[in-house]
Amino acid sequence: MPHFMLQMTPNGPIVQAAILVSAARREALESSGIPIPTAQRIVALIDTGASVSVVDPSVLAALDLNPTGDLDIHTPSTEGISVKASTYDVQFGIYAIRPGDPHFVSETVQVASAVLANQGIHALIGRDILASCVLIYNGADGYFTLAY
Amino acid sequence: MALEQELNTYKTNLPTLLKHEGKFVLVHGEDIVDFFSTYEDAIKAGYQQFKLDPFLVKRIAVTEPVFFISRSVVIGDLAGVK
Repeated sequence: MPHFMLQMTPNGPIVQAAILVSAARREALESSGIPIPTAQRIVALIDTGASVSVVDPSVLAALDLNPTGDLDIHTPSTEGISVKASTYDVQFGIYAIRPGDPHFVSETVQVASAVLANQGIHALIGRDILASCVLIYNGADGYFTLAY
Repeated sequence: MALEQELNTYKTNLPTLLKHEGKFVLVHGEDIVDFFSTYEDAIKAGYQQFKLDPFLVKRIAVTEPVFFISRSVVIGDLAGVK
């Protein structure tokens, strides 16, 4: 499997990533003569505690996306209940540190919208995306490996 | 509210949709359009048929599954937060 290894940060397994409009939306935009929004370069945390990936609304707004679904989400801020979150169809690109290094581009995934930018990140890469990957968390030596 | 009409269509038709439980349904306005085995296929069909008009893709379930995020985040969409 292709893979890359990155140094652990004080905030955990952080990756440089990009959020792109889905391939299907890209085709719809092209056929409508509308420019394709530029992929948004972001900082994302690999989070095995997230059963679904989430993206900050500022990133989704920059891609001019409309919701195509909803999900019920439970998180500590929802105080014991689940709340409805709008969801959007996007693709994730995960980049290694150096230009030209291997990178992973997901299939179209359903991501929820949640405010994250105040935590210094723009997205959580959850178990929905990790389901097709192998993640090795080597805390003892201070690095992690993602194979895909 | 985004997709209000499509979500109402889903709820109204849920009893009959349940024979396709586990599939992804494509909903446009008051129309149940089709069923798909994967999210990606349903999204692709939605954009092919309706371009940039609103449409809903939802996995059919008798009870809504709950997704968990252990990190404290504020759920919110482009119009605001909840």
